[in-house]
Amino acid sequence: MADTVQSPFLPGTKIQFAIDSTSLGYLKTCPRLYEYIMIEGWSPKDDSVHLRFGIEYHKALEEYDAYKLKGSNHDDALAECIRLLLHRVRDWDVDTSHRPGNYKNPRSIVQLVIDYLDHYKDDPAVTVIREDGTPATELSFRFELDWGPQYNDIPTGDGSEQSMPVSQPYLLCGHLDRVVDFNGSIFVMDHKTTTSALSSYFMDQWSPSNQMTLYSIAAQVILKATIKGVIIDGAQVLIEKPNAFARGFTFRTPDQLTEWLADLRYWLTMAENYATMSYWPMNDTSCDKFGGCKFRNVCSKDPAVRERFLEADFVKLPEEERWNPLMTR
Amino acid sequence: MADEPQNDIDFLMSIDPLELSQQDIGFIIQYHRNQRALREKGIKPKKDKGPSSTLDLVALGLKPAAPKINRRV
Repeated sequence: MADTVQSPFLPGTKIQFAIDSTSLGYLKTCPRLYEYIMIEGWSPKDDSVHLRFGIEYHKALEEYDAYKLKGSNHDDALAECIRLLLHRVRDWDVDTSHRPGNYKNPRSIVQLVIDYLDHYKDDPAVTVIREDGTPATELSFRFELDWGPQYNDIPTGDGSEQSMPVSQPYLLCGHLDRVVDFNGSIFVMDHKTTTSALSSYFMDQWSPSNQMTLYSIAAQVILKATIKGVIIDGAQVLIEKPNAFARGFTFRTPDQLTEWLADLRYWLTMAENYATMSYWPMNDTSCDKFGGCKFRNVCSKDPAVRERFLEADFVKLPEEERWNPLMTR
Repeated sequence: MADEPQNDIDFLMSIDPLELSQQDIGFIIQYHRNQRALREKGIKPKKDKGPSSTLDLVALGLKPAAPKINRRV
């Protein structure tokens, strides 16, 4: 991880000015969840398996695309991207005796990438080529809103108060996996790996969706083109059955994008208020969502003993390793 | 589909991939394609047993536990 990445928080405050869909999603789901992850830096001990698996999957597909763009055929591009993948995961030590590692490990990532690329060998979705000739894959974006935190007289923590200039606008940040031309329309494509079935239930979760609406806005800003929506490129990781693949579409109208941005102003105002008061309330109607919040076992305990439960099941990451929307891939 | 590679896949995957030949990479890919084909036919993959899991208690100077006694109530 680079050591020069700027903090997403305004100096001396807990006001986050660089926002991505992940951190905004935590805030919308539950302010306490946001506090545990973004403010305090708690991370589940097995989170690294999922994160690493996702990173390697995205990287391999990006490299395959790059080889294809250079003129390689399917087999040659696949061979080279697998060679690089094997090199990266060679020293990846995973505990396969637990469920996350049993599904997500060096063997299964190689199997998944080969299966995916064979499955979409003749992909009807064609990667958009940008004006500079590079493929529109793994695009990091960062753009300013025309407004920023409205705070004033922020407590400094030492009893005094310090007025700070309000010159920093909010930044919206993130990464687009791939932008494609599908049947003459431009879509963002987002790769999702899951161990769940790629059913309509899985696909329905992306509309409305904080992440997919932000990506639709970001793609329009980056490519200066009308984006129809997002293609959810689902990959189900299986052990005894062959890996499964399915795509779903989620569309966004211009009015929906405008509405999302208007709502964002309210959400970020609330975030600023939480930061100013240094208190992020628990939203106890979110605890059972998505199979159960990872902090459920902590929040269900008496406040006096929560710290002990956090320390048992989570690690507190140093600041430079915490989730940071300003980190480019 | 070609026959499953004769090379030991674990051996191949343990070598630095940058030192593998094109043919070796081809074997690895073919191995995984064969695994997929087996699963599509409903044949479960063999589980990686890892190191031998059988213990020779006698060699370790231990004796097996006494057989369980079934009491009649």
